[in-house]
Amino acid sequence: QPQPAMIEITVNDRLGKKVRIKCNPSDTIGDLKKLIAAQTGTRWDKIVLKKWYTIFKDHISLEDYEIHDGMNLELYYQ
Amino acid sequence: QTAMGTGDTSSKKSEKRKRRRRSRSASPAPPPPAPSSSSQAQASSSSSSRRQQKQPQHQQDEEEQQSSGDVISLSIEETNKLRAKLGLKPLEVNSSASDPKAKPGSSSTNFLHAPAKSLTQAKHSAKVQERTLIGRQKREMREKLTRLRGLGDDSDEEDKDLPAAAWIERSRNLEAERRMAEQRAKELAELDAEFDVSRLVEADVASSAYSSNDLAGLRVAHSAKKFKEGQTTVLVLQDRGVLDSNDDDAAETLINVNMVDDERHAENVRNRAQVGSAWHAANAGLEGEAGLDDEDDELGGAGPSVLAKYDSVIAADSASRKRAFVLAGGETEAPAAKSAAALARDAVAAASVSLDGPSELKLAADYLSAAEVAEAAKFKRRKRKVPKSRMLKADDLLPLVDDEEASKGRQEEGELVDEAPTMPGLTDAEIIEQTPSVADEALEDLQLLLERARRVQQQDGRRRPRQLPVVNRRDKQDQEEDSSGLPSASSGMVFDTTAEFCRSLGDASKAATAVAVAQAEARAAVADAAEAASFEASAAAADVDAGDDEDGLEDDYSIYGRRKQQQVGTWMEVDPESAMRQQQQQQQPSREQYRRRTAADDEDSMDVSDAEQAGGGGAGGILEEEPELRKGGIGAALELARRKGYLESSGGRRDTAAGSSGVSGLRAKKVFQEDLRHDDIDAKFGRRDRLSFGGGGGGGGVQEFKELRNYKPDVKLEYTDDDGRVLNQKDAFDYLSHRFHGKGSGKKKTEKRLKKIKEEELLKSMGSSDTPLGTAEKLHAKLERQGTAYVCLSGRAAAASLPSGVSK
Repeated sequence: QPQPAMIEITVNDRLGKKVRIKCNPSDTIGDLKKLIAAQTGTRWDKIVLKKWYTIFKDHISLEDYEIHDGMNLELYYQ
Repeated sequence: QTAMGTGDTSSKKSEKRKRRRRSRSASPAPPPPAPSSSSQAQASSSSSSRRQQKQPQHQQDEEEQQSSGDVISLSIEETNKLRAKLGLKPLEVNSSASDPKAKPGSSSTNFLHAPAKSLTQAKHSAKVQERTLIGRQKREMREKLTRLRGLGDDSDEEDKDLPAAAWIERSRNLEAERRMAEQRAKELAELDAEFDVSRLVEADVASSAYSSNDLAGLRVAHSAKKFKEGQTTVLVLQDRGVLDSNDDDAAETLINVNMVDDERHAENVRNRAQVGSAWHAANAGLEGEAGLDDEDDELGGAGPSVLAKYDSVIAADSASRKRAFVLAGGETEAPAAKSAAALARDAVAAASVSLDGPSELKLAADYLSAAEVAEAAKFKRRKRKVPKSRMLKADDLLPLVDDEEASKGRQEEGELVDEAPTMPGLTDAEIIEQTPSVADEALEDLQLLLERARRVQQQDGRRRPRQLPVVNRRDKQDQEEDSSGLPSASSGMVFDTTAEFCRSLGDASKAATAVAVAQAEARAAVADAAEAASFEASAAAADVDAGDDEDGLEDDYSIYGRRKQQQVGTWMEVDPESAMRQQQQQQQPSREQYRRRTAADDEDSMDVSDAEQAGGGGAGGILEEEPELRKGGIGAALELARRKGYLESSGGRRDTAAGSSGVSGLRAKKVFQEDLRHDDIDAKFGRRDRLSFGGGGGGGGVQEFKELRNYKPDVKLEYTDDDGRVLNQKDAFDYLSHRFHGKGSGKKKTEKRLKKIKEEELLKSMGSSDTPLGTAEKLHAKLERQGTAYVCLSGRAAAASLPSGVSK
C-alpha cells in the first residue's frame, strides 16, 4: 500500500479540546506531541497520547504505530 | 486549560503578533478556510471560549488556526512553519500517489511475501528427477551389457572352425599352469624346511591330536551311569598327598566337583533322614528308601556293630570305590543310559494292572449271596450294653403313647418320624434290642445305622420332643402335689396383690377379730331383729355367690369388697332405708378402721348397730349402720366422725407418721365432689373462684385477696449479726456475701471491723457527761491523785506527770 505523504490526525481530549494535526507518517510521537502542544498551549512533555489503554511512546514513529490518516487519539495529561 | 506553558505562550504570542503585523501589512488571500474559520471561531463554544477570548484581537485578523466546531487545526503552511520552528522537516505534500520504491526502509515496501511452495511443481519435479535417474541407470546397464562378453562371444571372436580343439588346448594349458603352481609351492616348502618352520607347524598339528589313549589308566570316581551321551563333564584330578605312592590303588582319580558334592549330600541325608520326616517323604517318593539311595550303593552290613557310627563313613568310601571305573584307552563307552522312552515304559509297567482278571466271569447279582453277607456282617461286632434277655414289656409302651403324640406333632411340622418309636431314657442300642421281631443281626445293625444317621440329620428337632413328655409328666405331678391350698381357676377366684396384702395384714389380728366377732354374735341376739333382718335380706339379695370361699381364708373385708362389687353390677330392689345407709356408706372404711371397730379396745364404745354389723359380718355383712345421733350426744357424733375418719384419735392401731399406712393413707381425707353441669353456662361461669381459674389456684390470678385489698404493710427488714447487733445495709450485705462465699474478711479488715464495733459499744455506753473514752473520768481521777487542779500536758512537769510505763 503506498504510504501517504501527509496524514491528519485528530486528537481529542474528552474535556472539549479537539485538535487536528497534520504530520508526516515518519514523524515520531514526540514530534506529534510538540505539534499538539503548540496548538493547545500545554507543555509537550505533559501530554500523554493514548488509544484505549495503549500509551504511545515518544520515540516511535507514527507509521510504526500504524497510525493512519484520520485516526483519533486520546489526549491525557500527566 | 487555564495553565499556559510560559514558553509556548510567549512564542505563541510573539508568533501571533508577527502574524498580526504581517497580516496588516499585506493582505494576501488567506487560506480558503480562514474566513470561514474566523466566523466559526467567533461562534466559540464554552470550552474553548476562553482560548478564543484570550486572543480576541487575533480573531479579527486572518485566522490561521482553523477550528471547525471544537476542533483546532492548522493549515499546511502554518503547520510547516510550526514544524520549522520545532525543528521538524516540513510536511510531505504530494499531489499524486507517492512511489513506494523510493523508501527502502519502509516496512510497506520491503514487505514481500515469498511465494508458497506449489505442490504440483514439487511433484512434477520429483517425477522428472526419477525418470532421469532411471534413464541413466538403464543406460549404464546397457553399456555394461555391451561390454560384457558371453560364452558365445568368445567363440564368435575367434575362428569358428575348431572351437573344441581350441577349448581343449586352453584347458590343458590350465592344467599345466596348475602343475606349475604346485611345483612352485613345493619349492617354497623346501625353502621353509630349510629354516625349520615346517617342523614347528607339524608339531603343533600333531600335538593337537590328543586322543583318549592318553587317558588310559585314569580312574573316575563316579559311576559310569552318570555320564550321559552327548553331555560334556569336566573332570579334575582329585587331590592327593605328595608323598602318596603311585600305586594302582592310589591311581590318579578324576572327579567332577559337582558330582562329588551331590554324592556327599545324598550320603548325609541318608544318614540323617528319619523315616517319618518331611524331607524323607518329599524326596523318597514312591520308591521309598530306594529313591534316596545312590544307584549301586548296597550296604551288606549285618546289624549294628561295634563302631556303628563310622559305618556310614566306611560304607561311603567302599561305595565310592565300587562305583569308580577305570578309563580304558580308546573309546570308553558309557553304559547305555536308559532312554527316556525306556524309563517311561518301566514306570508304566510298574503301575499297570493285569487285565487277565478273574479266571471265571460271573453274572452280577443284585443281592448279596450268603457268603458276601457273612463277609459284610463280619465287619462290625458291637458289644451289648444291655443283656439281650431284657424283653419288651407293656409298661415300657406307656410313655410311647406320649411320644407318639409328640411325634405326631412333629409330623405336622413336616419333620421325619422314626419308624421305631423313641422311648425316653434309653439308648439307641437298647431301643433296638427291645424292638420286637428283630431276629436278624444284620437288620439290627442296619437299623442302628439308620437311627444314627437320622439323629444326625435332625439333631435339634428330635431332642426337644423327646424331653417334652418327661417334663410334662413331672409338671403334672408337681401340680397335683401342690395344688392343695390354691383354688382352681375354674372356681372363679381372683387374686390380686392388694387382697393378698390385706390377707397378710389380717392374719395378725385374726384372732382379735374372731374374738370380736364371737362377742358381737353374742350381743347380736339382743339386737333389733327387724333391722338385722332387713339388713340381712338386702345382704342376701346381693350375695350371689356365697359359697365361694372354699378355704375360709377370705376375710370379711374382702367379702365386703366383693359384695360391693356385686352390688354394683346387679339389679336391686331399693329399700329406702338400706339405700340411705349405702349412700352414707359410700366411703369405704379402711381396713384399719374396720379392725379398729372390731378391736377389743372399742368393744365397750361400740354401738348396738356396730354389734349388729359385726354379727352380720359374722354372717357376711360388714356394712355399717348409721349410728343414731339422737341417742348419744356429742359423744356419738364424735364417734361417728372418728369412725368416718374425720378425726385422728389415738388408741388401737395408730396411724403411722406419714398418715395411715397402706392404701388408705394415700386416699384423700376430704373428698369434695363438684357436681358439674356442663350445659348451664351461668353455673359454669357464675361462681368462679379466683383459684379455679385455669387449673386451680396460682394460674392467672389477677386479684389479690379481697380482704386484703386495703392492706398496706409496713415492712421493716432488720438484719442482725451473730452477736445480735442490728446491721445497717452495708454491713448486712457484707454479712450476706461472707455467708454466701464461705469466707470472711482478712485480718486487717476484721480488726478494723472489731475496732469499729468496740467504738460503737463505747459510744453506746458513753455517759452523757463524758467522752466515750472516759476522758473526763480519768482526768478527775488523775487530779485526785495529783492533788492539783490541773494537768501539765507539756514541759518538764508533763514528763513527771505521765504514768510510770509510758515514755514521752
